[in-house]
Amino acid sequence: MNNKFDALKDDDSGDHDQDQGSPKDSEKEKIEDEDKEQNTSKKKMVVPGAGEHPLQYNYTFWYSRRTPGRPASTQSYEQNIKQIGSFASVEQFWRFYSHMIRPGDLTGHSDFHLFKEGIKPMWEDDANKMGGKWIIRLRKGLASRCWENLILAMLGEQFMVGEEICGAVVSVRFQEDIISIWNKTASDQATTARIRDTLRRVLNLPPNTIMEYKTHTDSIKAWEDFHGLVNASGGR
Amino acid sequence: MEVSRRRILQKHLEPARPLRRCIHVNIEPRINAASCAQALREQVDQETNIGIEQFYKIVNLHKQKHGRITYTRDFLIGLASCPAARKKPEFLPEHPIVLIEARDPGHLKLHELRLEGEKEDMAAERAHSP
Repeated sequence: MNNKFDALKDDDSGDHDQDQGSPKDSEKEKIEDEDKEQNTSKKKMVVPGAGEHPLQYNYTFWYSRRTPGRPASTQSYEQNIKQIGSFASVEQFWRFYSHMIRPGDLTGHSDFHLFKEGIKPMWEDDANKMGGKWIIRLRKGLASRCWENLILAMLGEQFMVGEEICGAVVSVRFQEDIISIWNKTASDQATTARIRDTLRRVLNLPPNTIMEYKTHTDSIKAWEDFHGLVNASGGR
Repeated sequence: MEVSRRRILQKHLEPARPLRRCIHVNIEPRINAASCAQALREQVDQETNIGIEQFYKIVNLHKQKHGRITYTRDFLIGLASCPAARKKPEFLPEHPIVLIEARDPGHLKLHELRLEGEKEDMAAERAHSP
């Protein structure tokens, strides 16, 4: 019985559904007694400290910055993205957040990503590949506040779309900043509409703010077109 | 007769039903064991061989039943200045974006004050909260 659990656990390691279940619901002492293999896989999981406020999901902070002069590719994107840390409680979130500079103080072409633990901030991740994102372009000076409001709404489960949210990104660019929130199912219009309405409410954006929904399939296509990477077998 | 019983069994043996419905099955009245022994055995098998993924889905469903863990923005901000929230994380990579000491959470509020003047909506919304 136990073996079956272990085997399945390894297979499912990319599935974020289990992330907050395991550490919060099992006793730590038990883990110590079990075999090393399982021990190491569980060690990676963050758990809320005693007396802390647990979050519905565990999340991971990521940071990426485009290296000047190097051609962008999916591979180099994955190499450039750095994991900052994962957390399971409100207190742990603040610990990381207060020890990171604010997005408004970032320079160059860089991004902060906050995704559910187990979901990579990449279009290709299983949780993202059928998904899309709401994009809001901000004039300079607004990013820090908007990013904070966005992630607080996400961590506090204010979007009320079940398991649909994957993560959020703030992108610092030359003349503007962009914040976006990613969800699993781009074709689910009820969900995307709900996310949009919640965004309007929590970000307090001026009524004329343009919000744009983009599927990741479109993003991939645009990216490939831009970089001239058209699949040779694709007949184009 | 044979045919109709088979149909019942088949209906009961569907292995790949979504978990939501699977839970529903558990609270349905049990089918008479004498007439449907094979089906029952199958069902027991299904229950004991439940995968880890399904297990967590059930845990999650139960959680949803009791409500998701939600926090308002104000509540979260209220926790930002408690000592547990100001400690340096145990594992923090050395990186230009990583600070040696915690930022002052107060200056995040100053930031807002400056911007709130532009946003009457926000003031209106604030008025609703106690």
